[in-house]
Order: sequence, then C-alpha cells, then structure tokens
Amino acid sequence: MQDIKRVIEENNGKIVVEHDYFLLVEVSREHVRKLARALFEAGAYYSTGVGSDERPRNGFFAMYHILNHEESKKYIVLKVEAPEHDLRIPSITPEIEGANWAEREAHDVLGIVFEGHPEPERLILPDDWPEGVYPLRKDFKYNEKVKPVRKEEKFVEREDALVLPLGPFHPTLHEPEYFEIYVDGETIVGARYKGFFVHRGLEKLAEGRLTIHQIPFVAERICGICGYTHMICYCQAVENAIGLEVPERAEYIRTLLLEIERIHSHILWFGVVYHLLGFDTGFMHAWRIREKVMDIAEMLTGNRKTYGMSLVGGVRRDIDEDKKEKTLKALREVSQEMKKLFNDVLAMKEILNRIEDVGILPKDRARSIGVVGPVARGSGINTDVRKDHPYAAYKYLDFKVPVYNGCDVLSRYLVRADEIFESIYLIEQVLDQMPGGDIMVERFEVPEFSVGVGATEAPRGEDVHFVITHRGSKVYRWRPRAPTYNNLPSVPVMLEGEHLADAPAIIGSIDPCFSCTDHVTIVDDSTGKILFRGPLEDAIRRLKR
Amino acid sequence: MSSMGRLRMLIDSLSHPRVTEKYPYEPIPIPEDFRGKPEIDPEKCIGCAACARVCPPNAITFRDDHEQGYRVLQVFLGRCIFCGRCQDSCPVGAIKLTKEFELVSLSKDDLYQVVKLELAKCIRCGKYTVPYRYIKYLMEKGPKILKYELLLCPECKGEIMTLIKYHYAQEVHE
Amino acid sequence: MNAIIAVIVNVIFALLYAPLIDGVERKIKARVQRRKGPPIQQTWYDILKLFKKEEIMPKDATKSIFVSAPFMAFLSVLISYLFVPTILPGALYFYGDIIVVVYLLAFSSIAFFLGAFSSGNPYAQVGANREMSLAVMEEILLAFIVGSLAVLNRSLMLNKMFPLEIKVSSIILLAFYLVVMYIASARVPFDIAEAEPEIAEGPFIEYSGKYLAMYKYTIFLKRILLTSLFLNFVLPENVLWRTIGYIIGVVIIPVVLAMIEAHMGRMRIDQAVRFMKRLSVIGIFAWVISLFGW
Repeated sequence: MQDIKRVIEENNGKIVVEHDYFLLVEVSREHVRKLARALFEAGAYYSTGVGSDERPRNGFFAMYHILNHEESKKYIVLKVEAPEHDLRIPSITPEIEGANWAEREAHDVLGIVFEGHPEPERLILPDDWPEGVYPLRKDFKYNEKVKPVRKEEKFVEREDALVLPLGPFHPTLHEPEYFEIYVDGETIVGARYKGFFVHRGLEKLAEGRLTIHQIPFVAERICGICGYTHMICYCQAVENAIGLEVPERAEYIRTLLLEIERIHSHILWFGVVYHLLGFDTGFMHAWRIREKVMDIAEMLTGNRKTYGMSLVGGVRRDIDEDKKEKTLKALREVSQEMKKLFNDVLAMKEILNRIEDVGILPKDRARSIGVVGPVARGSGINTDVRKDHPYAAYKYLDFKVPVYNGCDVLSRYLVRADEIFESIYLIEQVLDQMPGGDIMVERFEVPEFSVGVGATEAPRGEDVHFVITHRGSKVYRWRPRAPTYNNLPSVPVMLEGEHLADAPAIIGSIDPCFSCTDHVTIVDDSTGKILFRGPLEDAIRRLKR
Repeated sequence: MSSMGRLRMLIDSLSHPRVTEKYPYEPIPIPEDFRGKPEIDPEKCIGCAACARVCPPNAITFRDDHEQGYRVLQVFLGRCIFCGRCQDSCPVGAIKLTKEFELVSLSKDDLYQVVKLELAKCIRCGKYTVPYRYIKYLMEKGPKILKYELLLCPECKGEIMTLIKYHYAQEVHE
Repeated sequence: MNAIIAVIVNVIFALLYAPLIDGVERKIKARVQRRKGPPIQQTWYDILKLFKKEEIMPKDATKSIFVSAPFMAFLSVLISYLFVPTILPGALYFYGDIIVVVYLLAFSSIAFFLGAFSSGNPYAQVGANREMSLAVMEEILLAFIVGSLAVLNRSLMLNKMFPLEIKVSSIILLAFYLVVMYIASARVPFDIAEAEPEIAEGPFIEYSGKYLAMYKYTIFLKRILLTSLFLNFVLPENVLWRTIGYIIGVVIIPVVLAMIEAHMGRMRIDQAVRFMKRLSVIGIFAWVISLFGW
C-alpha cells in the first residue's frame, strides 16, 4: 500500500481523497503520461476513463482515468483537468493500450482532444452526428434534437482478402454489432470492430432527468442478463461517495442475488456456445437446467430477470426459511445436472477440437488491453473484484477464483464452468451465515459533489460505476462501464490468424453483452422513428438510389 | 470412445418427461411474491400520491382539478416497470402488485386505471386543498398537530400562523 | 412388375415422404432434448409457405444461373429416383446406371455451388468453397464404394446389386457406406456448408421463396435417396418382405440418424476433410478385400 502511494507522489500526483476503496489523485497535464506509465508498471491495469464537464463548478473539463491496482486493493482515479479554451490532454494510450476507447469516447461526447492518440476516430457517436456538437456537455439539453449530417461511409476494399461483414445483423450476434473480418480462404487475416449501435444515452438522461433513487432502476435495465450487478454497482458507488454503511443482512442478500445472477448468466453462455458449435442439444439441456435458477429468482424477487431488489442503502425484500429451503434444493439439482452435462460434453472430441488452442489472447496483451473477468482469468491473470476489492458480503465468505493458463476459448470455458460451482458454494454459505437485522437504511444525507467508485464482479468481469453526486437528489455525472467494454478490443487480437469457422466461438468466448457496452438511440425528428446508423443503412441507401 | 457421454445423455433424456409447459392451454403456476400488474383499491386509497412521487418511470401520475374539486390518480401500465415501489410506499396498502401478467389488449384504454377522490375545502377561504380522505388519515394516524392546520389551505395557514406569532410576540412583550 | 408404374409410384412416394420424415426427425430431436417440438407436418408447412413467398433478387447476382441452379439441383436428385427404387422394387436399370447415380448426386452439389457463387454474396462464396471441399471428398469415398461393388458383383448395373451377397467385403462396404451416407446428408457434424451461426446459411443466404424451398427439398430428397440405396443393398428380393422391410427401414434409419445427429457438434471444414481422408483408408481396404473375392 505504501508503495503505490510512493509511486504516485514520485510522479507528481497529489492524493486528494483517500477512501478504503479508491484514491483520488490529481495530476497535471504535463505529468499524467508518466504517472500512468509508472502505475501500469507497478501492476495496475486500465479499468475505464470518464470525461466530465465541470465548468459550472470550476471552469474546467476533467478526465478521470480509473486504474485498478489489485495488489493494494485500491482503485486509483487520476484526475486531469483542462480549460475550455485549451481543451487538450496528452493521451495515455501509447503507454496503456486499454485507454484507447475511453479517450475516444471522451472526445466524442465532450470534445477533449487527446494529443498523441494513435487512432483518434469516432467511437460511440453515429456517423451522421454533426461535428462539433458534444452531447455530454452541460449546455447540451438531454432532449435536444440534432439534425443528422449526411456522410458517405468509406467502404474498405482490400486486395489480399475478402471483406466479410459480420453484423450488424448476423445469426451469431444477439445484438447489433459490426465486426469487419478480412478473410483469405478460410483464414482470418484481420478484423475491425465498430459498435455502439444501441447506445441509449443513459448517462445524459441520468444527469438531466433522474433522481438518485430512480437511477438504480435504469441501471438495472442496461443489460438483459447482468442487470442486478449494475444496480448494485451503482448503489455501491453512491454509498461510497456519501460514506453510507449498508446493514449486514442487506449485504448478504445482495450477495445471494448476485451469485444467482452469475449462475444463470453462465449457464446461458454455455447454451449459446454449444449452439455456436452446432450442438443444439447441449443448448437445450443447459437452458432447461437454467430454468430452475430462473424459478428461484422469481420466487425470491418477484421476477425472473429484473430483480429490482436494491436501492441506495440496502435491499427491498427479505428472505424467509421456506425460500431458503427451496433455493438450496433447486441449486443442488442444478449442480448435479450441470456436472453431468459438463462431463458429457468434455468427452465429445469434435467439440474440444473447436475450442482448444483457438482464439489465443496472450497474457501480456490481456494486461495492456485491460480485459476483465473470465477472459482475463483464462489468460492466466488472477483478477476478481470479489477478492481484490471485497464488497457486499464477500469479505466474510470463502471461495476460490479459477484461473487457467491456456489463453484459449477452452480456458475461458473452464473458468466459467468452475465459477458456477463456486457460486453455488457461495450461496450455501450465504444462506447458512445470514445475520439478522435491518435490510435498508431509510434516511441518509447526500453531500454535494462527492466522488464515488463502485465495482462489482459481474458474470462477464469487472463492472465499474463512477458517480459524482449533486445537490437535491440528483447526480452530476454517472458513468457505468460494463465489462464487455474492456473485453471487446481484445477480439480483433484473438481473431487474427484463426479459421473463419471459429470466429463465432471466439467472439462468443468473451461473453459479449453489447447492451451493456453501448449506452445512443437517435430519434428522427420528423417521423419519430428510431434509426440505426452505420454501414448497413448506408448500403441500403445506396441500393435504393 | 467419445460415445459413452452421448449415450448417457440420450438415455437420460428418454427416461425423463418433456419439460414443455402446456401454457397457454393450461394456467402456469405463479409464485406468491410475483410482481404483476399494480392495482389501486379505490376504497382504501387516500390520495396522498406517495406512489406517484416514487414511481421511477412516472407511470403513476396525479392531477388536481381545483374548479370541480377532485384529484385524479392515474396508473398507466404502458410505462410501468413493475418494480413495486408504489406498493412499498403506500401508507394504507391501497396499491398492490397483483399476480396478473397477461396484460395484452387491443384497446389502450385497458392500460389505464383511474381513481378519483374528492378534495377537501379550506375552512377559511373555501379553496380546494388536498383529498378529504388524506386529511382524515392524517388526523387519525398522523403526528399530533393542531387539527385546524389540516383543514386550512397553505395560504390561510400561513396568514393565521403569522397572526398567531404576532399575537404571541405581543403578549410576551407585554 | 411394370417398371414405368413402379418408377412413378416410387417418385411420388419420395416426394411425399421426404419432408414428412424430416418432420419426424425434428420431433425425435425435440424429444431427445426433452421438448415437445413442432408437429411432424411442420416441414411440409414450411415448404408450402416458402412457395407462397416473394422472391428477392440480389442486385449483384448473375440472374440466369441464380434462378436455374435450384431447379438443376432438385431435378438431378429427382432423376436419380428413376434408377433407385424406393417402396416398389422396379426402376429403369441399364448398364452403368450406378455411375450415373453418383454423377447426378455430384451434379446436385455443383448446382448448389453455382447458385451460391452466382448470388454475389461473400458468405455464399465461403459456403460454396466448403460445399466443394466436402463434395470432392465425398466423391472419392463414393468412388471406392462403386469400385468395390463393381468388383464384387462383376457388373455396373444396380439390379445385380440389389441385394448384395453376404460377404466380408460387402459388410465392410455397407458399414462404410452408412458413414458416407451420413456425411452426404449434411448432418451435424458435417452440415458445414450451411453452418448457420458461422456463415449465416452459406450458399442459401440470398435465396428466398420457391428457390429456397427447392434447395431444402433437394436435401430431403437426397437423404431418402441415399437411405433407399442402402436398403436396396440389404433387403431380400421377395416383394412382400422387401416392402415391409423397406417401410421399417426408411422410418428407423432416419430416426436413428436423428438421434445421433442431436448429440454431435459441428466440425470445421479442415477437420472434416482430414477425417474423410482417414476414412478413405477403410474404402481402400474394402476394395482390396473385394478384389480377393472375400
């Protein structure tokens, strides 16, 4: 712990807030690159970056780079400021690959120019968004409509390879994304990713319209599979910002529901992977077993999926003995059946041949890109928010973090398989050890302009929410960063040199949750229709001419 | 060979029944705390509009008509996210989430529930204030305050309080 | 038996039965997955529905080939039924008919390939490449079978091979043939050309309406053709026993294959080709044995 503070001070960083979860470090533009490099070498990886328009407060724009230093169990938030008339900040992407997307996004929505960025292209705004209009600035109203600017999409032509557009509509993908794959015969020679087709503008909505108590429900709907994780992560970020202690029983109930979500998410993933590999029976069996988990969720929370069970300060519903019994019984059945299914599948040679030594992500690349969750753990990196930054009831519970060194799809598969059984073990402990007491803190104060970082281990990896509070039950800035955001840049690396037939399995191996990643839906002013921008629509337009 | 696992899976499947539910030809079991359609019991509702204030998507709204003297509380299912915050916040248990989930309808009117409550009148100036039942509830269950305060509109209450303070100050002074 | 009447009955039987047995296969796969599944007439509904749908012509397609390819594929398989009896033991036999049947099956693969390339879609191109790789290997394996049969029966006429004499080589050949039949029926693990999650239906991606219906129908007909060929090799000449045996066989074999297919994962094209290369060793072995008259 002392070491990391020394590293910060030696590189001209000033620690302004010390919380047991994170350090808020202010650093000037001249020194940010060196400090980032030093922290990376000290073992931190890039978690996410948040741009913020703080002109109403002090006349500056700020960029918060959030790094995760597992060894000292702290998040290090580097705050760099730039004035409006000189809105330039040196890019740290040349030092840490993982900052690439965060800086591009901050540029798109706020207009901060990152000097030295290797790929300063538009990331999240649609292609026909006009230049110079920055939606996340405070002077841009959340319901302001923008006139689309017609722009011709440059289509990539390559001499040496066939351009295969995987997306935005493709049977492999469950949400619209675009992977441009360059294929020579059956070998992939390169890939380009373009996404954010379902960006919904939640961050702006939170600032404009929502109160601090309504945002958990919006957060829950960021994702169709890991919604509860987002809800908890947001609540934790606010609780950290205002220094609120949640009652112990509530922590246990949160843990219970989080682990239930992890189980159902992983079983869902297994079903999808079996389907991608042509083994539909495996898909059906996995989802049949998953139904038992969904039924438990429905019994505990009133809904199969959007649990809605948490607010800032605790949880909304309690659990009684009868529910405990039913939960344990169902989980025992799930455990038995999943064990059988896994054993049967691992004996199927043709399936192993499709996932072993496929989609390699070397460990050093994994660290510099900043991948999280099973993708990182499948490449030999021992990282898990539940152990590195214990939250909810994890500090009281005993569990293992599975790490495999294969760096291939099979490793990620095995990580998730082990995690299911660890989750069941965790739930058994939770139900056994749950203390009595309150489940919600009813009243609390919300100081103005407090910074909070909340992190959870979602089924897909580290989920980070960054919150700055505001007066009167509002938030000043809210940034949910889903795990897939950090995992997606690794896909082109994994795809290179592989067979085309393995592309779906490789893309699927990061367990992509694109709804989580994106946050703009553009509504056409005249017709009120919702439009998807991107290569597909331009192609249709070209055809019609 | 790699057949044993497959064979086991096959025999296992054939020796267990199909899991396909017969719904909609047969009803499907719903757990007790299922969060279905919210319904206001118009007899119990006191018109405090706490539900409207906590509803995250603003599916519950209310409108006061100060000419005719009533408050209209409206639940619009099209916006409802079935979170149950309304149920949590209702002081009298008038709004509850039922187990009903088959909410499809060909007519949008089916998605609205409307509850109409009479507004009480200020005993001094006669203006409409808050629902009569709300005042009754506060008189019985609320903190012990001057009953008369509840029967006044905000402006009258302000004026009378000023008068009281003025007289009180005068007396003390004397 | 009058061959013409037998042929007409056989062809009509095949046309009616092929989609029906696919419906049964779907039901079996559903049961094996503990589901209810669609009704067995669903495949018929699907084909009829496709015939009613509008055809969309891709802008970059070579229209003449694009439109005629499905018919070429369908007809080449249908014509094979003139030489391979199904429910009634009669067909238009002639010298060399077995080679014609093999070539007609190859031609249907070529028609798939042409249709895919003429559509102008890169996914179809990838699918067509895979189709051709598979077809080439299938032809090699079939060649061994035809060669061995020719040696065994000292003839290239199918009716001399219906049924085969019980010998070591013929048993090995039949087992080998079953494997080749499984591969040629585009069943998982070998449905590589049309792999839906990977290349979005491959050669079929641009087809719609009646053309798509014809392609799907062709695959069903091909499966029944291969099954009928196998049954002809094993069923006795006695008309009554043959008919009973045929009906049992043409139901049981697809059901068993469906149960196997449900429990397999898809192979990659290079893995499939390698597998088939190794399989050809058995083919050579069977041919050598047949040379010795065993």
